[in-house]
Amino acid sequence: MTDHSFLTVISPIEHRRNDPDGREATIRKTLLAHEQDDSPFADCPMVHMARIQILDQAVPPMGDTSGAALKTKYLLFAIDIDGRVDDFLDSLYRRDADFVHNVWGQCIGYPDFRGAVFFRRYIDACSFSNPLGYAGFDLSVGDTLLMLTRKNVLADFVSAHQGKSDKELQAAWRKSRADLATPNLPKPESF
Amino acid sequence: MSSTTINTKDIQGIFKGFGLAWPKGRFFFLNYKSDKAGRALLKHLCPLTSFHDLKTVKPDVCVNAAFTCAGLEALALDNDLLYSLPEDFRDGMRRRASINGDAGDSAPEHWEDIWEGHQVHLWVGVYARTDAQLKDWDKAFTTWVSKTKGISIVGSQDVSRLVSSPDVPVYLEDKDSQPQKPVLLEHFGFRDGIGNPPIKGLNDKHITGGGRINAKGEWEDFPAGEFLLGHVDTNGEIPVAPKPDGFSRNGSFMVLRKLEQNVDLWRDYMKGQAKKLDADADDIASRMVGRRRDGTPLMPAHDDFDFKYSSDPEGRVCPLGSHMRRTNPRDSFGADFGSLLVDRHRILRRAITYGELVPTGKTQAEVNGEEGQGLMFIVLNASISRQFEFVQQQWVNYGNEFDQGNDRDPIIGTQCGHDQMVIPGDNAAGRETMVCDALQQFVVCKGGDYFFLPSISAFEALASDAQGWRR
Amino acid sequence: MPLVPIHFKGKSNPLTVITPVKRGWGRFLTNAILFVFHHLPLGVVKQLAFIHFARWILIKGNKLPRLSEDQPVEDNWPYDFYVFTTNFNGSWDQYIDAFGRIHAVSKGLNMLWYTSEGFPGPWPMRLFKRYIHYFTAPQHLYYNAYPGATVRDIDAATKLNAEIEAFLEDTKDEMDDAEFGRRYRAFVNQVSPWLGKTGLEEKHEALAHRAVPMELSQ
Repeated sequence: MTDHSFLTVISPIEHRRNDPDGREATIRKTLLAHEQDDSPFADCPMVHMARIQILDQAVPPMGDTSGAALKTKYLLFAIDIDGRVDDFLDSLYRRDADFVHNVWGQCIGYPDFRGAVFFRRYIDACSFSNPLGYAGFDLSVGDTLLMLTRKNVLADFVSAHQGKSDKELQAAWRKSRADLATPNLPKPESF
Repeated sequence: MSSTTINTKDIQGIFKGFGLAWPKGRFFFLNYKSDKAGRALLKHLCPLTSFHDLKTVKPDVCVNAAFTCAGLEALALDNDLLYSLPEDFRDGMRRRASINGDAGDSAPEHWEDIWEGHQVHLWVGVYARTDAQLKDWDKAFTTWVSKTKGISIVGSQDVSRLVSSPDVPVYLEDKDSQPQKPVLLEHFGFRDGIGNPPIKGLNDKHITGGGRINAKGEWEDFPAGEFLLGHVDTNGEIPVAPKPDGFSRNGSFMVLRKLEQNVDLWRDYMKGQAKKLDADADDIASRMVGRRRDGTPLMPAHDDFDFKYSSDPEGRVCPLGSHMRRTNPRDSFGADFGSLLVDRHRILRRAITYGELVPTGKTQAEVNGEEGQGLMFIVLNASISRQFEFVQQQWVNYGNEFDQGNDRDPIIGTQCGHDQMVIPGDNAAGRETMVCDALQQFVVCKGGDYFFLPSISAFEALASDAQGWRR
Repeated sequence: MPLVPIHFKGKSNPLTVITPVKRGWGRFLTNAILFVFHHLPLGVVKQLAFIHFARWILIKGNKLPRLSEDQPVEDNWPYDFYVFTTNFNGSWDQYIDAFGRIHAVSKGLNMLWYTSEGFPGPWPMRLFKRYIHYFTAPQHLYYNAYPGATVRDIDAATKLNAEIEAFLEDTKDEMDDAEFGRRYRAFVNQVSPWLGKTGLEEKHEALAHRAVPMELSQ
């Protein structure tokens, strides 16, 4: 049973008109490239679910004609992980520092230096804490994948051995029990 | 709009259902080359048989009609009206094949030719008491069509009710599973046509067992708006419907699917599984369906209708993945919720079989040859996407809501040959688990479309030569 | 519209709703409500079994990070941000439907969104859906570590796992075949409700067109 962390980060991207340094463009391109394939999160074993969104504009209440608006575009990063935030940030930076620099590195105030420590500090400066969080279950990613794999392995075994004799059953079980006890786990994002 | 003011003279008879009183039928699928020809056809068909007629005058031959989107467009109706038609109806069933799981053998490229190219404009359903009356009507109608310019019959389908009889065995291996009393049947030998939702002010039968279950566990009927346009639904709103009001009120959306049933394949498969599992083929079949052949529920029940599922959350009595439980889960999602999560996805079925019953021991070819056997599956609902498509996409071709993962409905789901259905065992009851593997495609969709079934008055307005709703 | 395929693969759909909350009294009340909910058991939500992870967080509008001198002060936005993120199974309509139709849940939602400007309440459904859709912010990247699994799959897998481990232990050593057969069948019968096969399928109709709200106009 694990402690889940709910990390919520809002970082400023750009306040000047027309994205002169192409920061927003770089972020969008990077997100698009890693959306369906090659997600750096797949190699961070503590990540359950993650989302990144560019907040182009804040939506004022319906009927508000005062012209209330934000002056800066922001990046929203919300992630559900096992364990500590710093461990995750290190893991992500280690896996794909370029991704980090092409996303958060494009945000206002990100230091010019490379290194996980700067990433951690930046995220810390942009994090918001104390959410009301809900988790449907308290398993880690690894345990979740293990149990799901076992479910399919067992279903296959039961189906394949319907109607067999007791002798055949026991022999098959002896052979297959290792597959169930320690199955090959699918890589995150592939199950 | 209070339910007591529903005008049954304005609602087409199919809402009530034609049942055994009109056991012979023929469906015509028509095309008209111009809006003028279309109106001539509609005028010729007037007056359609209404719900009220079925209760009072009970004509020998009943006629109902419904339009495809192409059919409405071909009447040169006003753009405002055409644009207000919902997307699911405008797309048509062919274009939405991926939502309904019409793939493999059921893919549109294998559908019957009449469903190509939007040629079907109008469905005309004719139901008669006797073969002779049907023949007479058919002769008069087809003669008229052949003499009238711009109208053609692109296809037709004979339909008829099947009733169980001791002379026609439909059991697989166990004689005792044959229905003892005469019941309406479908081709796999199971009672059909029951379990429809009771509608306040229209069909009030079987509120207990057919209706909604509130959070207190009490049975209630359905507000008409779930099935009849222009009325309040279970969300307390009048659902969005095509404009103007007069066009859609008392009408409905109709899904028509020709479902071919491969009786030989079904029987061979069931017998094979029974052998493999050392079990009773008819018992396995009833667990796949969720009822016994004569309609008796698997759950303990007061009658064929009055039962609930919440006492069986693991599906040991009635498998969660069985056909019945998937298509109407009742209170399966928890007694606390009653049927609150199901009510928005109920459908009113008005199907009718085609082809002759294949008795046990005979093959389909011996009985019907090329024509085959199956069901002209008809659904009436206020919203095709929220009701029919939802059931088809989320409950038939997917198993999550029933804790079945990806497993699909074993009877009508789209199978790819590796699919399974798990029938849970019960240690306490001494019943073994049965996993039916390599499920086959027992039911194949051979075509169909989405139709708009107008009210009697709307149909007459569409037939009228007055400017009305035309461009 | 519905024929545009769903953007993210997998059985879990993301939804992010960012609503404006007035500062001052609105902020105070929101914090109080969130505090109360921290201590409430959310049993009914667990029972519905379709939310993986969700969060509610109030972000103060005047506390947005200002990390450079030339970044302007946000003095033209008099509201706080109330951010709701969720990962759910099923279609968008199904999700919102459950929130409106189940009294216990809609009561809670009514409280949680009470301070959001213009919130019409979870009923009537049409207004509720319009409101949610209006303030929904789209995702540009969504990641799911187990896209082929739903909450129900995971619940079933968890129940199954306890039984599997017990049976593995129970059958550690060889035994008489008949005895094994008996134990095996008893085990299979016990776990049979949880043997549905899951994971990502190549052609998965149920996952097409689901995140797009289809009943918005209804």
